[in-house]
Amino acid sequence: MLALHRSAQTLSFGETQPRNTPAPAYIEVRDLVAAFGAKIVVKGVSFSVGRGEHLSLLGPSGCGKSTTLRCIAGLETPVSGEIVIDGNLVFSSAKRINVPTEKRKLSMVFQSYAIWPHMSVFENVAYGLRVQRVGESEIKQRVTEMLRMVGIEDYINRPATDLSGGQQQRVALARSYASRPKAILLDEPLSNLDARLRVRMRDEIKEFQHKFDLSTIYVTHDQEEAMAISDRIIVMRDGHIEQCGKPLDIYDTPCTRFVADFIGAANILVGTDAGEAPSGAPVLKVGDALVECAPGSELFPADAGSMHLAALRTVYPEMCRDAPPRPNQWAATVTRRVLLGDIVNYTLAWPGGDLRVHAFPNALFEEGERILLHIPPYRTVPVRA
Amino acid sequence: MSVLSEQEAQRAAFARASAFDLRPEVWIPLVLLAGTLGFPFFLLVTSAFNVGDPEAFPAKVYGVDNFIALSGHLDWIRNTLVIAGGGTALGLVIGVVLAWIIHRTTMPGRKLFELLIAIPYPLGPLVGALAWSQLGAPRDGLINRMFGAITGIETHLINIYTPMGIIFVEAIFEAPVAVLIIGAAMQRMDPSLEECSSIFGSGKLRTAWKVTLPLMLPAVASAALFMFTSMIGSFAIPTMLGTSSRFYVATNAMYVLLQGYPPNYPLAAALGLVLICMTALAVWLVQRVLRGKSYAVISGKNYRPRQVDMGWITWVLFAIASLYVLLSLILPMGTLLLASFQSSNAISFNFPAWTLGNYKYVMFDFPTTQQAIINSLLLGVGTGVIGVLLATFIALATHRSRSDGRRLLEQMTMLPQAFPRLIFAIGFLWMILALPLKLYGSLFAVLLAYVIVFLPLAYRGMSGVVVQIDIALEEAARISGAGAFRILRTVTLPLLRPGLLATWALLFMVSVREISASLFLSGPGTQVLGPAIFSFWDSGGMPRVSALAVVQALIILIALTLVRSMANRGAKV
Amino acid sequence: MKLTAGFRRDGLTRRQLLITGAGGVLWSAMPHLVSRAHAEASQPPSVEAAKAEGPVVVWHADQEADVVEFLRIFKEKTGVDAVQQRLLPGAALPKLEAEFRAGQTTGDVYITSDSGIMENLRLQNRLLRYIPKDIDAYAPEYRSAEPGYWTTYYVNVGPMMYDPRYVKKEIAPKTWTDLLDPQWKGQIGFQNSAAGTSYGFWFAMKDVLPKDFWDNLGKNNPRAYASSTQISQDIERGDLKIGGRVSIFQYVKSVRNKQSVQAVFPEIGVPAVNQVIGIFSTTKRPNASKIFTEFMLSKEGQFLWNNIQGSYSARKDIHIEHLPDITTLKLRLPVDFQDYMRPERRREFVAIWNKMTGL
Repeated sequence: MLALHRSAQTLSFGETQPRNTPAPAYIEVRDLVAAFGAKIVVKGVSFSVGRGEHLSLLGPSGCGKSTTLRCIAGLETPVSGEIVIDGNLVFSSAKRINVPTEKRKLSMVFQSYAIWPHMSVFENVAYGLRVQRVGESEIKQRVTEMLRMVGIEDYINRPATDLSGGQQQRVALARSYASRPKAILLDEPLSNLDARLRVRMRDEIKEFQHKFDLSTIYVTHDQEEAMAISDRIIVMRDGHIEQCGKPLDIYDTPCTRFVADFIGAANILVGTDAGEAPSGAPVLKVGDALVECAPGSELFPADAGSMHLAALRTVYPEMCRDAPPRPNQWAATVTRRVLLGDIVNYTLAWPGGDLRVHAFPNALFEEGERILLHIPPYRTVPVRA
Repeated sequence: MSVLSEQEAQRAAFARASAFDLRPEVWIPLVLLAGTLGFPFFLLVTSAFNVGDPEAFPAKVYGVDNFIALSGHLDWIRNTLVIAGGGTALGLVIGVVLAWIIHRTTMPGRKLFELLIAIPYPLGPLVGALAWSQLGAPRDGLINRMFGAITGIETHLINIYTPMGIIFVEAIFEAPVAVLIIGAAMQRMDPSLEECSSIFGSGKLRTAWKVTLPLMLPAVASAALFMFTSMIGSFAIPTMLGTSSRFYVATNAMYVLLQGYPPNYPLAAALGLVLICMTALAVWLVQRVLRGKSYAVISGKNYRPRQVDMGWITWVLFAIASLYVLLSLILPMGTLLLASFQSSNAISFNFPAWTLGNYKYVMFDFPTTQQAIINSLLLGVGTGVIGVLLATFIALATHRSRSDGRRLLEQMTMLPQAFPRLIFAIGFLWMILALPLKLYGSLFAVLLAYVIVFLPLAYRGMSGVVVQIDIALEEAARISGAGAFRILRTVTLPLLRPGLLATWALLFMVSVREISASLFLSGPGTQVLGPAIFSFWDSGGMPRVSALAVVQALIILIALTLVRSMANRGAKV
Repeated sequence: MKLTAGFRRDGLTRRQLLITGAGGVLWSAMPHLVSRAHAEASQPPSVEAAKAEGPVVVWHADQEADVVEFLRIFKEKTGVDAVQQRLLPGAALPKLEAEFRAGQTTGDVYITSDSGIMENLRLQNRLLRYIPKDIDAYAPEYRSAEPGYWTTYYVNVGPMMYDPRYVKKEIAPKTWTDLLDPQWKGQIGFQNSAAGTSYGFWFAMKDVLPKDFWDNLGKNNPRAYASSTQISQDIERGDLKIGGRVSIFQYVKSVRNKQSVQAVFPEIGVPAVNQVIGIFSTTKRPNASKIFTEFMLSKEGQFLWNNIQGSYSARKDIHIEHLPDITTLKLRLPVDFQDYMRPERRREFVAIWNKMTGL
């Protein structure tokens, strides 16, 4: 345990940044535009990653997140923009700078693991060190240590192809960290694993991040992964950044309909402005239902049909058969119930339309039963289209 | 730092996409190929339209007289189509049946048969024609002699010197390719598709007809195309089995036109051009048929195909597979072996009179055949090495480069497929005669021609391997800081190794057995096995030519065995 | 027999020159070869120099095994090494053309069944003149008009052939017109139009036989073979009844192999062609080439060669076993040599022959 601790220190870069203050930019991406042929897939994206910060690029497939990552790695050449890594300009369309991938001193974990099948586990991990002309004895020591950390030191001399998917992913991780890169890029590293293994590997990656304190950029389409692993999440959609923030902030206050939809379970309410609640919070009239929004929030400008949008987080709402009247409490009818074990999904006929609700399985309601539904106002966040 | 508006970004992207980005790894091979293919083709075309002095190079007077003259010989073209069409049809039947037996039934000995069925192809048509001329000659053929001895009937059982005989020999020696192509597709087919059909209540036959066959169509069509194009340009079989019975297809007619004195170059060139058009048409037709046919069902995965237990019919299938091996391998090689031990043209079963002298003669005493054996080995190795390197380079360029013109390069590489090899060799010969280089009569000229005519084969092999290598494996090395050369050395080439070996072996074998491409290019001092066997057949007598053919077959079989054992060893590590 | 009709160099047409090769347009760019050819004309060869020159390269279109055997004995007797390269005219001439363009031939001595080709080479100054000691043993019809350019090393006589096991002697053809009998339909074999001997046969017999002979013969569907070896092979195997014109040495070889074949020499005449030997003017091995030519044309060499092959020598003092006495035969050699060389004649022959053999 002691050795492990020391090795973590020797392998780490600089000091640990406190998580709550914005880190100075270590990797900076400015106005990045990337295209496949004439089709633009990244439309002027700017963001930065602090030293030791763990950033996720989150979005559905085709949103440009992987392309952004590959631009940083130098595997794709952007149309325009600038990329700075550790104070060095590695790409600039204006200055015609394009540092080749192999000179950027980064590391990457691929979706397909990209474990070289013709090499042993040892050789896979040692590859980057050999390129750096590290001495043979040090290679042996560092590789062994890395493999021990990922828990596959027993396989050190086995052909890489003998390993299972999860073990291959561990080799890929070990390989990435072994060469002491400036930053680690992870491109959907867990998407080829089954659900159970994915959760375990996710936790291991998090462990690694803590041990090494390297800046990481993590690309995923899985919001759970993003929330679990990152200090900060960038939600991308259709080539641009939809929202950027800490995981909880994004969860609690999504600012667009897309983000609200993509992260957590939410129902999007479409309604007209029905004035203000006593607290001063805006009230939305959705169908026959009046919905009070989060205190201190403001409605975004209405669309052409003077409709406003709000995201209603319908996770673990209060559902009961009888309760005194209060704001944001409505009568509703259960139309469909789906038991999932840890949670129950209900579809409710609600005055403002149908609602999909995730509830605890402690008190079960029957289909057709009339109930009372209460969702606290802070769970209703006005969003943009 | 100015921020680009969406329109500006779009414009920039469009400008970059439409900018002509032709990189050396694409244009250099493109130019080389265009030259070595285009110039011979140009010479063929000018010669075909030459109506002035037939020996003038380049032609001075142009016209279509040669094509008009050709219209008086439509039988050549008709016969070519009959042979290629009939041979392809028969080859397909053999291919589908054998592929099905090997991959989809529980017939005992499937693995052994899979191996045996593959062998006739590398042995080649020359061996086939030579052996079958001794097996199926109407009076003296071994089969007819045996038939006569057993039944006492005077007339012959079979006559190989007929169009049917030619179709038969063509088909049995090309069928292994069909077995390979169709068999590979059968292995890649998701059996659940068929199971699905069975679940809906379709019978075995209906499933085969409605589901399996349409799914197999792309493979069947490519197998058919491969056989058809190679039969259109096939030289040895029609020449050895057709000429002496007045049966002329394009190739043996062309041979006489060119061998004669004075040679009729323009008519031969016109005929060659028609042949090229015919193969090009076949390629186009097949591509048209295949367009829009979904390949999605055939994934990269190898499934374990559902194998059918056919009950007592298994033994019928066993008999069919055995019959094929008998006709295409055991009888031909047995006959050649038998003939090679004789001291005169007639095959006798008088063992004490048998001799190994013919082998000593062709391998040690007779300078020409000795030289041919050495040259063929050199050419086989050389064509293999150069062809594989070139094909690998082109495959990497077409699949890994971001340059424009990759598709064009790929098409250019596959173009020699549409040139019957005999015709390409003629154009190539004219080219090296026209060039101010001392290429004519050198082994290097033959090597160059081999590399070009076998490039499509090599490219198909190597590009199949390159596409299977996840590009992330190379990217991972780049990220690790490796430069281009280091990646090639430590990642790409080691990953390509099994493919390189297999493709090299294929090129070695087809080079050693080749005759069409070398017939006009090899000559004194550059004698190679194919033409040497052919010329020996012309004037050397059966025992010696059989011995030489057996030597050729042995070289091919040894190469096959070596590579198989190396591949197996490689797979185990 | 008048073969001595002279050739006027200025009367030569371009076509005549071009006939020798596919790329034959650059021949005239070789004046330096001309002077060299004359300079070395009739110097006597030195054996020592010949040995130093390295193996003499003989181009031929004969049976390879026969030539190899002859070269072996040649080396034994003279000490001069020799190698052979077999190439038919269709392959030899383009190669020759390319090599003359480069100013250097890989071959030294050329022996061919087509004296027309050889005469053309002489006209282009591509032959080295060397008069062998025994030149007077060769009648004028068996050597170039100006002696020493080319000389006949054997006379290729072409009788009909059959095997009495399959064709009874009584019904076997006795003369050429017997080949028109429908009973031989599909059962007559000739060499194809690429063979110089086929041209010689047609040229020598076209004025002797009826004009419609070739058309009528065509109705009997004669089969075209690439070589006389294959014809005799098919006859012995019973797969061909009649050899329409088979080189005489095939008959001798069959007899030596104890086969029962018969040769038919019609009284009206048997076609014969001169197979001739010459030396390329560009040879790098003039001494060895001359010694080879000398040996080939000597009495000893003629016996050796014709005995190996089973053919007639042009010399009267050579007798080969199994061969009928040549004086009893009415030989028909190409008489009008200038006509024989004309490309138009050859084209006419190719058209007639191809039509006859179904090409």
